[in-house]
Amino acid sequence: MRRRTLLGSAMIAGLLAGLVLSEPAAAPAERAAEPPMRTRFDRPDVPELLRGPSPGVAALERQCLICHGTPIILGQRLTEKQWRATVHKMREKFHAPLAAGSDDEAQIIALLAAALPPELPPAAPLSVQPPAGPEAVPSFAAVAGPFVKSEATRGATRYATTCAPCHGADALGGPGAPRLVGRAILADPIAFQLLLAVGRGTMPPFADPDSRAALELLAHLRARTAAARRP
Amino acid sequence: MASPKITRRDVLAALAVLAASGAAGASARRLLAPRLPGRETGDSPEGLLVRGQGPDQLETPRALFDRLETPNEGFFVRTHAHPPRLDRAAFRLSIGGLVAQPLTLSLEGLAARAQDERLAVLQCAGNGRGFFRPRIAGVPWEHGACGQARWAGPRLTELLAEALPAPEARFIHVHGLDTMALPATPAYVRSIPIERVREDDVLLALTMNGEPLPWLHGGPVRLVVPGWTGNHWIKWIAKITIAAEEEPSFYSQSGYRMPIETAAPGGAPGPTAPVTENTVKAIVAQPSPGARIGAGTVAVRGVAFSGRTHVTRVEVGVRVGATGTIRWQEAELLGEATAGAWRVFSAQVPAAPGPLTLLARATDARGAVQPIEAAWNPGGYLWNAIDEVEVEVLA
Repeated sequence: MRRRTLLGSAMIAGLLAGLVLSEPAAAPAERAAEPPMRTRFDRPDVPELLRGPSPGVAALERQCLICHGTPIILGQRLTEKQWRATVHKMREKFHAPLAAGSDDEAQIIALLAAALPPELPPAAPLSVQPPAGPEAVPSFAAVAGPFVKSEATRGATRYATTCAPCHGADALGGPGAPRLVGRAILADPIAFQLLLAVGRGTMPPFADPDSRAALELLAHLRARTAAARRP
Repeated sequence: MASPKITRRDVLAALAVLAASGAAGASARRLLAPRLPGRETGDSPEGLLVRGQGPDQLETPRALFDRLETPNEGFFVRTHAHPPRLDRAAFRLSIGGLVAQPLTLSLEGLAARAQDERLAVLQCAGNGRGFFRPRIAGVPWEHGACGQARWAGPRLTELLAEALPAPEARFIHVHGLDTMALPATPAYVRSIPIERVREDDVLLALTMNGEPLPWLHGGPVRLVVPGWTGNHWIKWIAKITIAAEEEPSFYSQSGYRMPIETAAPGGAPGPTAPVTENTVKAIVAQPSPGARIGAGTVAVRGVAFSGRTHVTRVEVGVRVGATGTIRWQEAELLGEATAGAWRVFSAQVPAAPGPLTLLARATDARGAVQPIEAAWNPGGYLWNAIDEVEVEVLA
């Protein structure tokens, strides 16, 4: 599974790179000066223990980011005992699929207790401008990423048959399934592909998560997000 | 085909370069640009502070607490789950359970009822949690998980009367349409005692400061319970069930409860009761912490509110001398004395060169005065210690 995931990720990266190169008009040539992000916690204001790839960070990304974005985690300053109680509460009260006594549980508690103790001074939170109007898309905090129009168009067809019945034709949420537009996971193709591979809750695993179809779905959802942001 | 030698790190590096280009970069810059309306001074951060994202937890900067109505764009957001997409034409609100005459109402139907309008403070029960020591798990709000707006819509009591509740009805269970990421996670449902919602100030709000209720704030319909904490102001309401008992799920039985008797941190918590009413509190908007101001006098301005009553007095203080004695003076109050609404306070305080600590202390119509230190509790609710702002007075 892990090997397959890595291969798939590399394929997605290759596809993305190829597509952007072949269709530069869809993603303006503007490169960041910052070094590449290693994990979803890799920001300058984050303790080093959380920034780099490690088994603990992988467990955190796998288990906690199902429901939480990173800021709510990074804002906590708790003792080991409090972190333990918090993780247990997520399982017992909120039914997080994190097995008692599992390696992931131990890794997460140890990492958070070491990286975010009470003594650590609070970091200044980011500031955002919320959207205006009654129909504005709420999750403006997420940055979805670039997409290629032709991929997004093919993704729309696949979306309509596979995803729309639960998530809604406009991907803004439907009966029993949440909104997909504007979600943070759209910025992270590997996490997106992982989610398709394993499914979530009542959502079955996607039949071909490593395929071009997965990338097309991602492009479609990024396109929808970009459209929703337009003033 | 990709080579097996490519590592996750290489992939992430490739993706990050791509993600940093184009649409994503442009969106980030636009979203992070400060652009709140009605701000005159430029000495404090603007825009909402991100305490959480997806679900979004966004805090109002204290500089906006200088007026009676907090602008909708600057109003704090506290969400337990993911906001649903609602079709306004297909939307229906149902009132059922222990009633003789169940109701189903469209948005047009709700808008066609008699509308009431209330100026009321909405405050998250956890506002100020970030100030408690020892620290407490949860959204680490400072001052800005509150705001005041004009809310308008039909009174819930009138709709309840039409539904003819049974004599044994004691609670309403209010269901929002927001969804959790995991289907197994309990939905956000709150029980409210029926006698509270039979009072005429509880509204099904359709508008906020004269605009259609923004989706982000629960549109098309949210509950307004003046004087009570935000956990009762359910967003995206689609179902109200009348019942004899409290709702049995997590958010009614475990969440938003406080020990009845104050307990020491780490001590065994005794019996608990739901968090309901806000407590007396003043928040300084101006000057901003760390501001450098001219000598002479400094204008101190902010807002003050309490629970289901109003603030009668705000004192503004300065620490003087080596002992740190506080010299208090009366502030002027602007705005009407309305239960559940805040008033703006304003005072001119003498400012000699050097560091200056400014304080604000509110008293309500019941005689409750803000404490020096808020009572610690395991959930980190209802922090209301006297606000303190340190500034530098220039020679």
